[in-house]
Amino acid sequence: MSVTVRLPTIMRSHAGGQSEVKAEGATIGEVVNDLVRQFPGTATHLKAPDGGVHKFVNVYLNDEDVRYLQKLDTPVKEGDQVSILPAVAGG
Amino acid sequence: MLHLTTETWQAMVAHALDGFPDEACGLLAGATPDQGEVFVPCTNVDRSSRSFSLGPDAWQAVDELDGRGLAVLAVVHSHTHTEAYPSPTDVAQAANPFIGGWRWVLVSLKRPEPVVRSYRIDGEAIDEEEVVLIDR
Repeated sequence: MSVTVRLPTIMRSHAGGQSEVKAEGATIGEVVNDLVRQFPGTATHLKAPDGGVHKFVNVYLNDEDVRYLQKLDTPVKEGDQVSILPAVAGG
Repeated sequence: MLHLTTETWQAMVAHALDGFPDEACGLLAGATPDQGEVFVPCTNVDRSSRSFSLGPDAWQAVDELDGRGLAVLAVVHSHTHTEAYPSPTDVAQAANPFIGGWRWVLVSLKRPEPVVRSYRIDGEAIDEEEVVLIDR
């Protein structure tokens, strides 16, 4: 499955300056792993030490936050748009 | 020192009041590092009086601001019942590498008269900077 991945500004320098890239996978987790395989520099901001997604990152499938779907196991379809967005929060 | 246009100050306070009783959040941007010229109200996806999370609309706004030659200077949020001072949650979140260099601007609605204050947070260190209103 090929999907489009939108990258936040801070990650674009690790992807040749591109704001959108293509990645492959059947789930969000596989797409994230393919993104890191293609652009290893994105791992710093994207991957947590436990192999999951970094706590300062939210991943959206089309317009849905995958935390409210099936997280990294959320299936993707051909042509879906995945967005990597900074998770900025406070209290 | 953070310079704010009166219009920007009013926009931040109005958004905080609109969001009450939940916390409200947004982005402050400017063409120069110390002058907030534009406030972009964003969705608090937490819809909570105790926390905020910037919604995806914030990042669309960042791209649009960038296209106008404006950079984000601060993440802005309201405290509905406490002082305009970073909470422990704010300090913990300030380590976010995506917002390195951004200030934390707090709007307190604790008292009848809203209070706006600006901080830089580096690790556990919280440094307040003066907010000066200017008229364009």
